Amino acid sequence: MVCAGIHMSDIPGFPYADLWDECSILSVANLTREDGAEFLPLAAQVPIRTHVRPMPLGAANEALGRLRNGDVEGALVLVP
Amino acid sequence: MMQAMQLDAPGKRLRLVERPLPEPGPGQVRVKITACGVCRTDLHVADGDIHGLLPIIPGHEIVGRIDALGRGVKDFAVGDRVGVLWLGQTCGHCPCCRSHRENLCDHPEFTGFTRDGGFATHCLAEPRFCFPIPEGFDDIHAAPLLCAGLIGYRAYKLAGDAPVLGLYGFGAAAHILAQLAVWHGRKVFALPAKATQRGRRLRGNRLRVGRLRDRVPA
Repeated sequence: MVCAGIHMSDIPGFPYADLWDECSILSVANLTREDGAEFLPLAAQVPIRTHVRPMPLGAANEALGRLRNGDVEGALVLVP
Repeated sequence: MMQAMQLDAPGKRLRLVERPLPEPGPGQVRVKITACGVCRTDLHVADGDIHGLLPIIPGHEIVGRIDALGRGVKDFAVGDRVGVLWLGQTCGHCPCCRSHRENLCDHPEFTGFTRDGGFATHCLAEPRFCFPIPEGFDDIHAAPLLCAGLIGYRAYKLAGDAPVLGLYGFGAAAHILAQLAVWHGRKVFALPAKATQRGRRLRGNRLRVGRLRDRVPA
């Protein structure tokens, strides 16, 4: 189980048996330049299609609100 | 002058501010921003779930073009299209930096958290942490690659070579990762938090959508 968020709610208790057999839970902290050098060309090769919704820079509060409400499909992008 | 959406204190709305254009210091570049993705981490910064520098301009999925060079910058030129990331600077000499774990640097700077970020018309950046954006992506579509994509990719690598992946919460990162995993021939189960966020089917039956509480079939 890999958790890729900088902040999350507490992890509830669970049976130890679920962790048995050398299962693991770990977080992802930040990134390295190596990750960037690998991923960006790979994204072009696949090619990854990002689903975006552009919004004006001044709508940053609205964008954060939509994220808070889970009202986003794909990614919001501010355009100055 | 530059414009930015600035966070003065956690829980407050971002405020549109005008500031003098920042001059790049020695070794730095200035980027004229054309797109900046909005990441859940920005929300955690704005809500005060995590604590960095204040006031701060959030935003760390930045795409733009270099419009000024500080003294001594050789690797980039004015006009180059670059991406600027969450990891904005590292010390380069702590044990983590010296062992290929610069993500855990003892003295890091984070874009949009401990140094001003991309909810703005301009920002400063360190060339070591600027990435060329591959052709084939326009600026707006490239922006989510820079955190959702990259952090997702790091998580993907840490998941090892499992042939079946469950993506819990189908947000910006998962919508990118699902494509990569399917391309690698893996089976993907997407488990969105809300029915309205359901991902689309990708390449036949390799991506299945369930509910957050479901267990991923072996």
